[in-house]
Amino acid sequence: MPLHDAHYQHWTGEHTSLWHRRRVIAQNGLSSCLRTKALRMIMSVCWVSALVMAGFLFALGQLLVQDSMMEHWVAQMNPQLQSFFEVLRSWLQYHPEISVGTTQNVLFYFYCIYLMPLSFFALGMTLPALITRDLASNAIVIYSSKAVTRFDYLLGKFCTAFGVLALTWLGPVCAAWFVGNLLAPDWTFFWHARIALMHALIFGLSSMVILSVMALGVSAFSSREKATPALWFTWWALGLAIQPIALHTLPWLRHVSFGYNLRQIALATFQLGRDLKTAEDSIPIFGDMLKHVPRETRAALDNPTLAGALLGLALMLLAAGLILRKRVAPE
Amino acid sequence: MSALIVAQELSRWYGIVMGLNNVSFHIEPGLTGLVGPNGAGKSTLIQIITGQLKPSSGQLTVFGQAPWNNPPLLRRIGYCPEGEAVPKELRPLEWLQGLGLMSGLRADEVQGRAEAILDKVNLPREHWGKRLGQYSKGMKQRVKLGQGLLHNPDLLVLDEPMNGLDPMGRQEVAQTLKELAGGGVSILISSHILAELEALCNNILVLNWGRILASGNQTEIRGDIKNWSEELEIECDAPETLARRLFEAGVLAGFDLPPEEGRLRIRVKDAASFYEQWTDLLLASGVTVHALRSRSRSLQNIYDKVTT
Repeated sequence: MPLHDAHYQHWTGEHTSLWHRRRVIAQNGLSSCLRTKALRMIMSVCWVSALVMAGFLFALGQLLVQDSMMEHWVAQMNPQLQSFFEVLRSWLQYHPEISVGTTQNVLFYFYCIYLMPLSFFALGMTLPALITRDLASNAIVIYSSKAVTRFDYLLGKFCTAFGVLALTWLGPVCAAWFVGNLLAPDWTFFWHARIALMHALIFGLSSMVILSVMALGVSAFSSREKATPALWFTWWALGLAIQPIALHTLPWLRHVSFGYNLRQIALATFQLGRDLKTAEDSIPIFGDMLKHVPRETRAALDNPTLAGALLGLALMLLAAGLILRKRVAPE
Repeated sequence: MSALIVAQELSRWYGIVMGLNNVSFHIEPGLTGLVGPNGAGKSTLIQIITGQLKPSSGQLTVFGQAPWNNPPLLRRIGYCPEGEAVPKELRPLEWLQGLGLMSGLRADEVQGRAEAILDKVNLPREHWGKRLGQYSKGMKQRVKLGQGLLHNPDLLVLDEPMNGLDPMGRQEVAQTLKELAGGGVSILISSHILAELEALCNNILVLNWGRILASGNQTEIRGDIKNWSEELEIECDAPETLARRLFEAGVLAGFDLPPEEGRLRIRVKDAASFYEQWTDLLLASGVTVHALRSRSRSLQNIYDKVTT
């Protein structure tokens, strides 16, 4: 095309909607994040773990079927476990909400907690692609001169972070639940396991909202690409290091850790203490096993420090909001 | 012709620092140059026009609407900021496509438009596969200009668009801007290269210390400046004779005979009266004139006069 021969024409076509434009920001951000090799690797680990979890649920379902191959295998391995599953099987007839519902609730609690650090890591790797690079290159000025406001820009970036977490956390959890119950011996498993899914969704979605806002705040904290992941990982590591020290000195200091706060929310959501109590009361063999659990651990499971966790996270969100206001919000 | 941009008692503070100080002006459609030294308030004004900043007091409208938090209006404005402002990790086409979608263009047409724009700003196709971080300053400048044009804006705001371009590139950009203006796009262009603005823009806005010192077309501004004296350089075969003749006629405020042979520099008292008598005086002097040049019509001259 020769230079200078394009005749200028004012735009006369219909423009796409504001939500479409916000989606474009989120989509571009997500594809930019997915260019990070480390993120792709973490995603693979998360989805492979979902397959493992689905396989585990399948195996568990098989144990609840009389004379299944799994039952014979467990019986050969450990007769005590066989009696445990016999009890569960009998409960399946009379109290399926315990044998399926409670078991899956406990399993999905641990699965969510297992995926949590992987998601933290994934988020840390994608921080530069959220806001940091736009601040470094000053491209944010160009974005906000388009037909979107800074709020739309932030909303798009929030969806990007949320998308990363969905791919590394809630996505695998939901997939494991669905495939695991699809492979169960009975369709009613879907119904009995609904509470586990509901708890996972409540905890997952609320955590993802909180983490996404926090990630935006950290991402906007600096315009240096290495600084924002460094800040995120330092904060995370500091939280992990403080927890055992603070437990016997200043317990409230544990709320500096966002991971600890989210675990408290998970305990409160999944009501793990209640489940253990139910299992303890209903299955004597399980009760015997739980006697070995230290009293402090049981107390922590029964009474999560929800108020402190919510306050800690609220302060973190406030800090993130202030950073975003200072660094990204228009003047 | 209705004004494109209207500012009324517009001010913008940064804490205690005044970016714009109670300015009122209007900008007509067409090519307008924004002139002023560093810290004059040019960037502040541009940021208010493009909806990046909210005025502290007063108001500014573009096409009759306030740009702040107004996406439908921003769709009609293209902005090419100063500095690099391009994401290093992206390729030009994918960046422009994303920006086109953000501007509200439909997905099925955005690729074609992005390609056409990159051609228009003369970015060689062999470089389209490279990431923007690998581009030279001039190439980045072209991509940046392209993103401003991508959504067919009615008003294009350019902050130092010639920075980093070689002379050929500057000429090409200037030509593109002239064509856009000819096609009905209004352009507001800020540049410290006054000679280029002079060639491009008829209307100018002169800013200093957050105040508007002059606005309008160059001829009007010259007419408004008190004690403006027209300076002319004349190439002729007898400079002394011509100088004497003009001096005797009482039209000169002063003159110089520069060391170069056959040249005369004069300052006239009243330009209109001088040009009225010029032909008769020349014939009467019998001097042969080879060239006559105005030395005071440059934008630099206007700028110097209004800022000192």
